[in-house]
Amino acid sequence: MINSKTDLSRRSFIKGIGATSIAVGTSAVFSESAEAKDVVKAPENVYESVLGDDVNCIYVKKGDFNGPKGPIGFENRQIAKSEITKEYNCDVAVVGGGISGLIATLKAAEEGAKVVLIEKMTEGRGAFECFGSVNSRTQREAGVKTDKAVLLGEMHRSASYRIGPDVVRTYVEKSGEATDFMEQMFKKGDKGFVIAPMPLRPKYPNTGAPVIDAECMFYNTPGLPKDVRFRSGHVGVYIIQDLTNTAKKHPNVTAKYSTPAAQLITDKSGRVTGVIAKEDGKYIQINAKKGVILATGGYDANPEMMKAYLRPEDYSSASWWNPCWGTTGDGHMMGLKVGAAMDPVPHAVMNFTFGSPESFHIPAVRTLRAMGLYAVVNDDGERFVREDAAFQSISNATNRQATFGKKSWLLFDDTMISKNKEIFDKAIAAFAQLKTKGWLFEANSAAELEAVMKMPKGNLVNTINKFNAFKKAGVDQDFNRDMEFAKEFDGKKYYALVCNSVILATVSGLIIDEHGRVLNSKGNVIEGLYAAGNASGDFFSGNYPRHIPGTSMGRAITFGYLSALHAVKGA
Amino acid sequence: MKYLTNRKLSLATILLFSAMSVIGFSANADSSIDKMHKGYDKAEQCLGCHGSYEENAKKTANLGKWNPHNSIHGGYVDCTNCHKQNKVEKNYCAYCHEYQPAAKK
Repeated sequence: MINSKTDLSRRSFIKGIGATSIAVGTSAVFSESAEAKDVVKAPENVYESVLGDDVNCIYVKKGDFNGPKGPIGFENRQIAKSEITKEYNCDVAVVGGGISGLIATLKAAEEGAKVVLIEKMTEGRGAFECFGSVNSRTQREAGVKTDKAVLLGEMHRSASYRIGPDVVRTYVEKSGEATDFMEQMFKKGDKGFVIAPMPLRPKYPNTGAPVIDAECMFYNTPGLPKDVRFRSGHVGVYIIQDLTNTAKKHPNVTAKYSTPAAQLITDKSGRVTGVIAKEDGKYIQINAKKGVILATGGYDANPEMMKAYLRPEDYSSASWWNPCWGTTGDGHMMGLKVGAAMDPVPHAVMNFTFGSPESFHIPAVRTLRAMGLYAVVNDDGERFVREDAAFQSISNATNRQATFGKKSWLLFDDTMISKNKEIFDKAIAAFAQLKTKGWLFEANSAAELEAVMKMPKGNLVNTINKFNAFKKAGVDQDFNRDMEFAKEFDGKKYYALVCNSVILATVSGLIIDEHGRVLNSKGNVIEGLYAAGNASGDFFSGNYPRHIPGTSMGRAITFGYLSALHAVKGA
Repeated sequence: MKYLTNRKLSLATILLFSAMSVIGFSANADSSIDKMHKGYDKAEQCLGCHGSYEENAKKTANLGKWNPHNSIHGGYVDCTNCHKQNKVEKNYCAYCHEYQPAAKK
């Protein structure tokens, strides 16, 4: 309904063009042409047109999209009553079975509500290994004292103050309570997951970023295979399995997988009363007396949405990592269709460095000591960023180089790889495969390396000489890197490893209040509608601030918990 | 050949292709199966002939270390991520894992 006026005005535009060629000179045609100039082109897809007449495009050159494509559940058309084959009744409907959806499902169920959980994929996404939290039981007992003011201040600063105060403040105040709830749910599971404070290891000590102790982990869980415990993202798969099992066994929960949500149902007052989904290829209607919680994640696997709402440089040369591709922004779109407000564009992406052209570099390379000591250069052999900056910043700088077709390279020598012979040998062995792919170059000197890489003569040699001089003087005159944590290049072998930006997720979404209730464009609550995790917004801007501990996972858990609590019990 | 640059690599590829086309033109031409798949670029089109995603997942239950159509990360996965018409264009599993689908028995 929202789009009908847009479609009409665009039709009249096309009609106007036709009229111009037939009857030049009449004043009526002139005015139609003037109107036509405002409406430059018809929308290419639903993501451009969903905002209806109140839409304004910010024009940018189109980017290439080489990422994955997920199955889209959202449908923009009107699904008729007659198409519904089955109805289900519940108190709370949860859309999405990732971390925020499972926490929401379990919290609502524990509060006595009847819950229907629908997930489009066969498994919910579980791509994480730790999460942000403040003042949970385990943190309190370990004596962790989070400086809440510093955390909150840094969250605002990292979002360039483009966010409201309520959601981030609520995260700081309530994430501990939500963590304690998750801990209780692990006790009901059969994998015995243990939450413990993440040991504080300041990653960006002298870059201007504060050191904040506000993160928990699962690594103390006994019985987890060793390769699972410390593999980024790996442990999340098992946590989602555990919580899924607990949810499926809960007497108050009906969990439906391979069941994509298509659109929300509203009553005459605008209250969201349920959701239409597709089960075995047929439409079903889930009536939710107390609310619908959108926990659908971001939209990194939806090429059209990425193009519509992100900076092209953020995805055009990037690699993708997350292997579960249910994240197509169905929640964003369903919310927009019922009038929800969304974060301003361009949206924030969660990006990371250390990428190969396909995904992340393999662990044998990624975990090398060299990864903390390297210099970063472009195809011309020139540095362009302080290498000790937060990962998202290096990623952005890499994307800036790629805008003009220049690849980024991690530059290191054999003295930086490892002092441990076993690790050193393993790395050298791993390099062989990277060389055949054209991702790694090796030479006996800087001069030889720049020659084999076809860099402008003398550039790389000059860069390394300058870098060594900065190390000696203790000051990086070009980018102000902290040279205390750098090492001079003085090895026998020089290496350059290609370095892509990697997209993990998108983190902008529907604007919510402190209870997870979705707001409309006037800032008023849309009754019955909640959003959590990467489907929700008002938390980040520009980039995901990787230098703040685990706020993406932390907000997913916190607002899954809080939205369920509010839906069942009210404020 | 130890340090192949991208330019050299692409030159090598061109040389390789021209060599192949000289040796056997017919080997490079589209097979009847290739021709049959022309214009089929969307997952819905794939599933239209090949059956549902789940049916295809059953067929690949023993394809290497795990089932690419029913992995631990969850499906359904859009066919066009890995397949271009009748060819596997990208082996996405291999981007992160050592994985080579075993030939059908």
